[in-house]
Amino acid sequence: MKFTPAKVPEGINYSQSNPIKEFLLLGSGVLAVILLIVFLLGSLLDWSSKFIPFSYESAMAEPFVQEYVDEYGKGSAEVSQYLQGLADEIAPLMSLNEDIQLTLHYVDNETINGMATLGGHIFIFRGLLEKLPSENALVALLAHEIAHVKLRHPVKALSKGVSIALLMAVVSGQSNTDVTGLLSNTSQLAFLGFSRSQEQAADDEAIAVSQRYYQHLQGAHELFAILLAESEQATLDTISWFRSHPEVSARINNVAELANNNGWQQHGQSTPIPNHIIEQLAQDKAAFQLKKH
Amino acid sequence: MAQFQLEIAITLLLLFLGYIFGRHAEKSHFKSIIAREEQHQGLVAVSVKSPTQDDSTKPGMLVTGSVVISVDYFKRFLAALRTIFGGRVTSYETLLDRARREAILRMKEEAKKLNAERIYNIKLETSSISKSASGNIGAVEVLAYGTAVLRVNQ
Repeated sequence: MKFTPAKVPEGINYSQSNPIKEFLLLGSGVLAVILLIVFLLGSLLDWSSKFIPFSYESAMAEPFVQEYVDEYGKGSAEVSQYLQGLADEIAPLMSLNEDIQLTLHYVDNETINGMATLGGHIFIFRGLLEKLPSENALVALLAHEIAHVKLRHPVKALSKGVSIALLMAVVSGQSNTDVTGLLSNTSQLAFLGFSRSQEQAADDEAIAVSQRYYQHLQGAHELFAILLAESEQATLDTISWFRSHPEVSARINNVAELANNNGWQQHGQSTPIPNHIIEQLAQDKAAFQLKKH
Repeated sequence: MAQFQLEIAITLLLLFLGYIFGRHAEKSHFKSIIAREEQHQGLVAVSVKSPTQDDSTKPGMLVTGSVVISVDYFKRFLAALRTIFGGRVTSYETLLDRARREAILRMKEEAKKLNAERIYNIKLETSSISKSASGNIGAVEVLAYGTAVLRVNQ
């Protein structure tokens, strides 16, 4: 047998296909699967969160609420009591679940913010309180936050946050797959924003409560007017109330629409915030600025 | 969240670097392989076990050639994606082809230095390096060896 060496033909043993194309195809496939899982898990958690007892939520909230209050400083008890009193007055109008307890915290801080979190804890910042022209607006604000608690939005946000964090851990693999670590970070997750539809639902409740409490919607109009003015000159760090919240003008339209549909009176006499509260706020502001300088 | 974004950014950067440099390394390697294969075409290397009658009286010697080639991040990522869906891991095909041919070429180059006439019974061994160490990028080793029949000085 005669052996004649021949040139090796190129490209038999490997594919000439474009690796970028393959990468995009496979990558988008994986991404689609992940998104589907996130969506399904999110919906499942969203649905199942109503079965989580409120007492669990309270227990979970305990440590970080304390931490949060310590960090931002405790506001004067007088204002806290006033807020608590108002909340206790409007809560019966909202048919809350029996086991839900509301705890109002007044936060002595410039931030224009108010928020509800796990365990029925509602934080109202001085920055926002100072802007409110009347008790009616304050009631609308409190009703909005209480509605979040009533509709279990914090726990829904938390379960969604945990599921996303879990997925991130799965996707990125490696060291941060520590599930116990995820839960210890609840303090971070507890302050996740609510979705637009949740804000919308809370708004609807707040408007209805304003109607029931005052027989007119003056407060809701005043509240949204402030938010509109603020959002126009908002910088991100002074104002966090708007992130994820619906467009303010849409919320104002919503008030008018609900009023028209239900035959509610839109405007009326507003009740001022008690003088001693306004004085207390002014004192706190002066003290705060003194501390800053 | 910020940590996650950082991880994503690092991954994308590594993918980009892997693709650019891996592609460049592969291209220039193939170029060199093709040129050298042509140069060493005259040296017959076969997997036949027993030499011809003529060659059987000449002195024989073991010749080897081995090469280690690392897989770039992009290729590894692509292969990892493949393991989810299955199918041909095309990103590793060029890698192994290059490794086999380079190993044979090195073996031939050694044989040439020894003034060999032919190489019989060539065999290839393939193994992966640092496969088990997680987080490590893998590399492939191919070893080619055979029996060179040396030219007898007359």
